[in-house]
Amino acid sequence: MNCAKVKSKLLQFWFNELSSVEHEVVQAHLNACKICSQEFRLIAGLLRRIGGSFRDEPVPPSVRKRLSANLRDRDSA
Amino acid sequence: MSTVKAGPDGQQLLQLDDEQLITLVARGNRDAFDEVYRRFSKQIYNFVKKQVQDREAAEDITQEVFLRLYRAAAHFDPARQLSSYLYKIAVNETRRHFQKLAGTQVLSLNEPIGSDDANRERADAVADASVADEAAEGRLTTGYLRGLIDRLPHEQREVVLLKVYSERTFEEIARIVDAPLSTVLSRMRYAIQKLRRWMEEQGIEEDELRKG
Repeated sequence: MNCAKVKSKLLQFWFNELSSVEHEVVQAHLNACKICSQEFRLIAGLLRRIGGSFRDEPVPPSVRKRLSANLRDRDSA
Repeated sequence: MSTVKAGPDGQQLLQLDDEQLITLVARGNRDAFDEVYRRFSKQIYNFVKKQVQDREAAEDITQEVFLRLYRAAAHFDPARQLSSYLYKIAVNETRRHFQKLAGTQVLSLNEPIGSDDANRERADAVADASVADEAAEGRLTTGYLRGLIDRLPHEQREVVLLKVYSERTFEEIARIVDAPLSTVLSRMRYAIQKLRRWMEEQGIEEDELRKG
């Protein structure tokens, strides 16, 4: 696998979504190629930071109240 | 909504898997529907809110997602994953929201980011100013990163959120957004490229990202 092909697989590699054979091939390339390895570490770092930037908010209780009212109306219609 | 947590045969709803639950919902079991809501409402609400950036709109869309599920439960294909199905409805409802916004609103600098180009460019101008302030501090803060993600074109932001926030597989995302896998991967790559370019423009060093 050449550098261009490996770079096109880095996202799936990071998320562990390649076949085991492809995963091993990409891993071997990254072990040997400094440029692709740096590219991978950059993407991985960016994805980690993006993932860390998300915060969950609780669902406002009004959603459930309105949903219940809607379903009641639907049942009584 | 009722708080009884037992199925028709006395089985605890908490112990049922999603497919068993939706089968009960299809039979009109409101407690089963409550349990579905309890399991998925938080992730759906937050997924929507992170796109529309408006609490009221996120509430409306979330409510609509679960109403649609309730109405369609009888036709639900048990071979599908319930969470994917909910995300698909959420994606469609959110797109509908943006289409409505693009069709009815006069653009202003305070508008949320929509899917049409003019709206996006206008939103970019707002985002440029706000994220530049945070970048100037030289720190990749949560607010700074969120500001950049908000600047992405809607289709790319949708994929980034489904992947990084909702932790769906790329193949699942392809089914959710109704696009080929190659398109989903391209959207994700373009999003990453844009984020890198914007960071570079604002003086964020690549080495700083690699440490992340």
